[in-house]
Amino acid sequence: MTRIPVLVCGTPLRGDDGAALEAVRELPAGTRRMADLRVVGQLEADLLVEPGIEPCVVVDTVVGVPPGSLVSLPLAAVAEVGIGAMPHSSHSLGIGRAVRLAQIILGRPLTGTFVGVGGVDFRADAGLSETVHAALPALRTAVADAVAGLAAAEA
Amino acid sequence: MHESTGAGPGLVPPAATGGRDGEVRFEVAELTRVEGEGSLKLVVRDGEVVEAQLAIFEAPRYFEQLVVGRTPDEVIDIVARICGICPVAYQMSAVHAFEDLFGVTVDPAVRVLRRLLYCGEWIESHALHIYLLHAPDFLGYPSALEMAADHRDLVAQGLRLKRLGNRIIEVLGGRAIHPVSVRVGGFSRAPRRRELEALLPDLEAAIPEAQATLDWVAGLEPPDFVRDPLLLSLSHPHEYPYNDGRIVSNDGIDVGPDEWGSAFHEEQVAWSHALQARSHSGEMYLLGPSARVTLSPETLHPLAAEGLARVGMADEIRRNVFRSIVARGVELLHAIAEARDIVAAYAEPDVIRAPWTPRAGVAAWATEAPRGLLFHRYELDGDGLVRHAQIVPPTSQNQGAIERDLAGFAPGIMSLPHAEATHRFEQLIRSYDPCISCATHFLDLRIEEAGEPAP
Repeated sequence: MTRIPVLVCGTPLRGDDGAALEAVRELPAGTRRMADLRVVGQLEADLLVEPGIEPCVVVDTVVGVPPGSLVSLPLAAVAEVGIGAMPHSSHSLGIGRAVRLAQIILGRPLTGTFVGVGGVDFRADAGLSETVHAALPALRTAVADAVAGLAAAEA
Repeated sequence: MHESTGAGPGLVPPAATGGRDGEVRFEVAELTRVEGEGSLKLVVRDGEVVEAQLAIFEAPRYFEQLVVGRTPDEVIDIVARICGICPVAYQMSAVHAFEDLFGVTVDPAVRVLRRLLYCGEWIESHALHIYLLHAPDFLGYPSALEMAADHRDLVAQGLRLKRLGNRIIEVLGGRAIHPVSVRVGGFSRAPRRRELEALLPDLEAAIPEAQATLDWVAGLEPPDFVRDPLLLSLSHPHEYPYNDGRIVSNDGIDVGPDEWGSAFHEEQVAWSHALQARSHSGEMYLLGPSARVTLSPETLHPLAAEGLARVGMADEIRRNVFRSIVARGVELLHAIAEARDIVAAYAEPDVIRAPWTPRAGVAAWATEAPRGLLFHRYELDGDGLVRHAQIVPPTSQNQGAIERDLAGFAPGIMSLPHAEATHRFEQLIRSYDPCISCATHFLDLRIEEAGEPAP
């Protein structure tokens, strides 16, 4: 059985940015069997062009949507989101640009699913906000659904 | 979530010319394609540069205070957090400082593994800077994204090389960013031979790619900017400088890796959260690939030495900072070739972690981060806990030289259109591969009571 890479983004040191890490801790056993969990922190283009990485699920916290709400998009669509914003640390591209650069290199859209949860508090050592903490079960379900969907398509 | 939501770097237009009569201002509010947050301000009045400031406004990060009260092994993990690009450098300077104080002799195979770890970091950092940060300047693209649209194979090659560096660090350090295996006396775990051998095919394949990279960057046309800087790096009689050697310069400085403070000091300037370093005689100096290639060409890997001879740019690397991209190309080839050799000959260490006993004293050492010399100094108590720390990163040491070069570069490009001249200033700053986040972790807090003179 091909396991679906799940690229877990974010950091627990920055409040709601740790939501993806927290969510994948308690994925259903069936999902864990189908998934290849990889904690990547910052998503980089060089990982996305690595052979065998597709199809994959990318999980991260997002802004620009109501806190605690879920976002599920085809991974390729992420390339069009957030263009115009840049990470403060410009040694990194940010998730939208990383996906876009990978797609330019590959010459085609990436195959996979992006799953995000809206964050509200990104202060250092703040822990997850109540809103995001309450959304974790739904986030786990969304990740599980994404993994199952991609695994079924691969079967 | 890693994206800012406001107007980010690159969205802020360069300031228009203007000001007083006869005054031209060049300003970039947020420098792009550098690590961290800084700005450029240059003011030319009546043809004379009156201000040249690389302003570093990223908030201080207090790492030197964070490590106080910590054990040496805790310090090694904490200082790795200073930088996501060069965490190995911070670990290496710290661990060598502690081992020197405690009189620890590591297994020879551990010493080799530490060189391999550094190779991984140099490969990752140099490939990133060459392909994604600096090359767009030479080819006329605003970023690697636009460059990739026209040079897909080239950028793909850069990403492959960067990934290879990350994988070396993952195998040795447990993860690519902020690795966790370095310990006083060695490592927490030795990689199995088969784990390293899995890297060998990609290392072999990377050598011709690195050779092609060097030839390619040597063909990039640099702005004409020649000067004669004071260059500084570690130098070792038998190996290209990573972890060992003496601190030397091209004007005769020669001190031990624990003696940085005997020749240099740090100063505060009003416009920067990063301290600036000077020699005790007040001279600014330049670190990094250009300095190392100039000061230690005889210890380059034979393939890198052959590459440097082939492109024939040793003197240009020394004199024109825009040729630092060529120096990085030489070192990229060196690091890949040395990593290949180490992996091919690898035998697991007999003692992965030598025993040690803490003692009071001063632990100090310098190693070579991708961007240049990184000096650490710790004062420890009898329990081996840190009581005071000083970390001098390469970017704060280079900052003065960058500002001096900005002033020196200005007269030659004043006739260019303002936007083009501003871009050239940014390109100059990127030539140093500044790591601003690294530079802003000092803590110098003085509380002045009313009526009491400052110390």
